[in-house]
Amino acid sequence: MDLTIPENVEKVRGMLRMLGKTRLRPLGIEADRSGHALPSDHPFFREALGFGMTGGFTGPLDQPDKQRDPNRPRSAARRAVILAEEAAYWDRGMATSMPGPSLGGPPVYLMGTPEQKQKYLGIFEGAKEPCWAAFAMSEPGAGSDVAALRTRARKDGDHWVIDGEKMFISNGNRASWVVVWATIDPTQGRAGHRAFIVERGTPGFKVARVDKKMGLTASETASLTFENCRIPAENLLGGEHTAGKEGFKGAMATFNITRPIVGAMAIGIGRAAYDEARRFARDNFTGVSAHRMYRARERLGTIRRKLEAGRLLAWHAAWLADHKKPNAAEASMAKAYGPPVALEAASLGMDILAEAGAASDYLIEKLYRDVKVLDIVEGTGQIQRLVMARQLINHGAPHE
Amino acid sequence: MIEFALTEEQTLVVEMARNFATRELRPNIRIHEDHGVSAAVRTTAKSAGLAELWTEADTDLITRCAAAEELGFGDAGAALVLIGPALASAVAARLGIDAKDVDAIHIHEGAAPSTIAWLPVRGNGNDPQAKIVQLNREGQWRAAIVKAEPIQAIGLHAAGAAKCTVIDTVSAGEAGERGPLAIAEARLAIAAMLVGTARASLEYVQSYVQERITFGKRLADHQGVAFIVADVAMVTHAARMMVQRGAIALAGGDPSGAAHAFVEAHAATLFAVERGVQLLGGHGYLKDHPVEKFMRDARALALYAGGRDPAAEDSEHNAWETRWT
Repeated sequence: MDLTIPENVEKVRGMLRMLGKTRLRPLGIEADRSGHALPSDHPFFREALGFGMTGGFTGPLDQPDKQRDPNRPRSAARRAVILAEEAAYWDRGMATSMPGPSLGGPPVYLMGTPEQKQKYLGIFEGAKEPCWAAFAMSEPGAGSDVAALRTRARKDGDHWVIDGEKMFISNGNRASWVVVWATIDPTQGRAGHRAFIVERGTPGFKVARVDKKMGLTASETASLTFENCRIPAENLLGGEHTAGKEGFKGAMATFNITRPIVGAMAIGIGRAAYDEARRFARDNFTGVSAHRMYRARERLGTIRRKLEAGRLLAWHAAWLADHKKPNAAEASMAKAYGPPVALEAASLGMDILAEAGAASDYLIEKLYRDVKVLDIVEGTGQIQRLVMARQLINHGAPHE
Repeated sequence: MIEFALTEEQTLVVEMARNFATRELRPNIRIHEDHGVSAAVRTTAKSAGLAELWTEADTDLITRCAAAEELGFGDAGAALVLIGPALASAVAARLGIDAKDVDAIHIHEGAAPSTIAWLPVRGNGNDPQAKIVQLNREGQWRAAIVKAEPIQAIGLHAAGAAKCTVIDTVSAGEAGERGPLAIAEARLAIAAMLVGTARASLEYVQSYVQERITFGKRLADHQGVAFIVADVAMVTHAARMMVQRGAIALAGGDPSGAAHAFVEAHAATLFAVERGVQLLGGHGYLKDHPVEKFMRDARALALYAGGRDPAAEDSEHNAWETRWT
């Protein structure tokens, strides 16, 4: 066992820390106060390309896997959770809005044909202009219950025709392409699910609206519509022969990588809340009663322990993913544990600040608003418990 | 890179402990509870070299914790009998005391002329004695002969609870910087055993909820039940991670991770074992099933190594004083 962050990842984390302090956090606060995400042509995004920080810190694609010894396990998932936590520490909204494939990357990476990977992931390699991708699963009537999705895809000659609506799509308004999940036959349930790559500008593909949210303003969230949207047959993710087998399974495999990342992001936000509360108490708690001091220390201890545990759960789930070991239960644990703990961190932190905690002069009220959604996206906490329970009943408790 | 796999050597030791716990401890939990650990089981444990994991200085902390978890999984009371004195010796060694024949460790605050301990009692029935090492959080230690009067306690019956009153101080001294490290060693072992007990309860419940039919379906298929099973598994897994991290930190000379781990293992395990009894309903309250024993044992075990509040205090001190990145 070794819980040391390796030097090469620590170096990137250090760069990210600098970027976070000077750009991500100030810009995230700016977006929050203005009520609008940074426009896609904001100079920062071009500047970010210069840092080599594409990928949205959420995908496994920014790992230099090409130099990897094929006899050694991947480290991309572990790297992703470490960097995702650090990015979210500074501003999770900005981290999500960074140019790159973001959540659209993992399904292409996991299920895509070589041609699809080349064409769609290739645009991010050495990109001169900021570009984004997106992942469109949720619908107005099918959020966490992904098996209930109703967006239809039908084959028409050399094309697929997609009809339906998608909601809660991060970067959906600026994505160059979107991985869209649809069913070819609702009566087949999960077996009928397929993923398609829909390019921006395809006739019939529209952004219906950009959502207004409680927090994470720096991250643009969109609702998308597909009306008689025709895409080439080769845009079926994974190709004609493997897509049927890989449909729902592919979605789940994607979640097993992205859920620990979301858990890690929550820990990042929680860590920011812990730092804010700790700094406030240390700076201001001179002369307060012993009881108040005791309460503050008790709360900070609680926050710290739980956040550390949440980080370890995310790291462990990512480690399993890198070793290609089953991790559905552990990925759900990381996802189910991190966000409520981080929300508790922000809430207890606000209690430490007292009335000041409600004021936007301090970061902590923003963190409280920002982190809540992480218990909802990528499958709510309730869904994670369903996944865990199924795994535990069928396969037993994790021992490794 | 971050790595969670155990080495081949560590795996062998843990598997040995797991096999021992599964074959020798678990089937005999009620016998051990009523009559103490049998001579046959003690002999098997001795030949397996379980106690040596703590008395041999070159055994790493990750191995010790993983083995302690397995023994706690088997039967925490019996585990205390088999490794308690060795653990006490390891703690004594951290203090620089040559105390190989010590029976138990007692971590406390201020002066503590008496304590409750689960330890082997020597001497005849009229003059039961034991040797313990007392260490207070202010940094003073003493090795003492105690009068050990057997008492009834909530759990860990296999280990035999005794009220210990100091009758003779053999040696004493200042622990200095060694004190927190010694306390951390004890906290980690107990935290690992707590995680093992939580796992034992979880595993039993997992099996039970698949077999028990209520309202025409398996208990496991009731969402209210499934969610509890999931939550228990999640916090137990998190506590295990914290114990392992605490072991790595202590190996590097940092005792704070053990304090964090103890508090998390305490919370997770007491949650797990109580939920275990609850999920079995009335059956859980009966001695026909082991979950009531897991609940009693865990409640007692969580008082060991100084208990929760001092650990929480050390954890909170660390959270206040050091930044976490």
